[in-house]
Amino acid sequence: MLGKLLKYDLKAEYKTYGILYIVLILTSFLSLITSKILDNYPKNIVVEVVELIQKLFIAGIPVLSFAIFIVTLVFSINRFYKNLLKDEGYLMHTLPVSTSQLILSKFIAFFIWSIAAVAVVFLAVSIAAGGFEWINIFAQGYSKGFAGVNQQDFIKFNIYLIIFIVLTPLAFMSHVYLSFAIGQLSSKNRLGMSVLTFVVIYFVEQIVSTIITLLLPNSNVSFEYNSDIGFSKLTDYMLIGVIITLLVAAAMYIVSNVILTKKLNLE
Amino acid sequence: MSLAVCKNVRKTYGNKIALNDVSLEIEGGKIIGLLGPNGSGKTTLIKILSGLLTADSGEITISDNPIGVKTKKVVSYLPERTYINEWMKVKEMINFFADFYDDFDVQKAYDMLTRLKINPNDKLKTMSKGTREKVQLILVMSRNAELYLLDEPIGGVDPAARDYILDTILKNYNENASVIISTHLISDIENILDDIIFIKDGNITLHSTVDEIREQHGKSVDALFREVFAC
Repeated sequence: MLGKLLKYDLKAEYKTYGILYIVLILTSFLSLITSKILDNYPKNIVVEVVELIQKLFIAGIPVLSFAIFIVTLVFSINRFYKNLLKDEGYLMHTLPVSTSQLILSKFIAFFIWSIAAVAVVFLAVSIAAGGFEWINIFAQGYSKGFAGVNQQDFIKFNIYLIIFIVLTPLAFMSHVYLSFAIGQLSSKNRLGMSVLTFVVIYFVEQIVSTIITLLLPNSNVSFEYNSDIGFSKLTDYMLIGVIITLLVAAAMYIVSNVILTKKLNLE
Repeated sequence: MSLAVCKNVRKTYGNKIALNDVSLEIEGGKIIGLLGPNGSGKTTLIKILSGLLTADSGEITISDNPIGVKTKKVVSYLPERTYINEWMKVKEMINFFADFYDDFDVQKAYDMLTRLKINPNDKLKTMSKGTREKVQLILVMSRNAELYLLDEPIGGVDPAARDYILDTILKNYNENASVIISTHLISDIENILDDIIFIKDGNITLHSTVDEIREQHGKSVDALFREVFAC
């Protein structure tokens, strides 16, 4: 049943995302074409106009990329709310599937669209850059920034960083789900209650993470990235950050499941 | 054997009691009118049976199972609002139901669409509210469920469609299944009811057969309702 739910969750949004992806890829192609024109023709009035257009395309790539990430986030939140907690919820919660499957399907759909967004942005940048060479340039520049640190720590740091980047939007979505799950318990202004819950959870998270940071040994030491000891400590702290984020996200996800299973309130 | 059983079911919304220790047994093979004025607890009871609300206390079973995935497999629920995915076409909605419900009869759904002159390729978004309600009823009644929960199925449609809907309900439930119809338009459905349940302020005030009412009270269900619920 999870596969069927996921099929409909992906189907519900694919047209909107598809249009955005096409516009971004098209912008990248046009940016590449205009750049080739500029490379091959001597400067004249027409080429100057082309140069102006190319600047617009180049500016359009980060703007559209940002828009894709924002739209992915907003649409995924909207889909969860409308499909599970508004009128469509009357259908979804009477399907012969468990509430945990309903939530998991939304969560996986969000993850898939996030990966798709990253892939499309990556492709768009590569098209605009005329190949994949930019990755090497970026990787070299990035490594150079960490030249003085221990290689083993550098590898660990990058692994934690990747996990952290993947985990952050998922943790954010768990936070959103929990806010909706608590908000729907209210008999009045459920959306308002959800927003309020979101803010309260955010502040609690901030306070708790500040306390944890202060409790860590040598937390007042300022790190120097080219110092082995400082970087090693930073890597350790990053691992702690990843573990805490994972645990908090998992707890929020599980509590959302329990509330929507045991205390569903579609008034 | 009872198809659905509620024992001391209680539900409150803040300070307001929606259901007050409701106990009820629904047998198979009956069309039951759940009758009461607005705010009496009809929709709350139906939502609890369909799994959209959880009772504060009490015990509810359908075909001996507590409310959950197993009961949702055998309960076909029609809410009082539009719950279908508006971005879909009618035929996509039929595929959706066929995907999730093993007891969904696709052919029956298409036959009913043809009879009501509804194009399966039409988008639900472009349809009138009345047509969308008809599509919902077709979807719900195309299942071979054990218990149909119909919340105000005739409230928003014209009288001609009302007759068709009631006819559809009568023709499309099997003899072991039961249909609970919640409404306050009693005169329109009285002729098809076997049993009635009167609900007032969250309490079941009467659970009887229609024949018993006529014999004991010498009046129609509609007349008795007007007397019991007189303002």
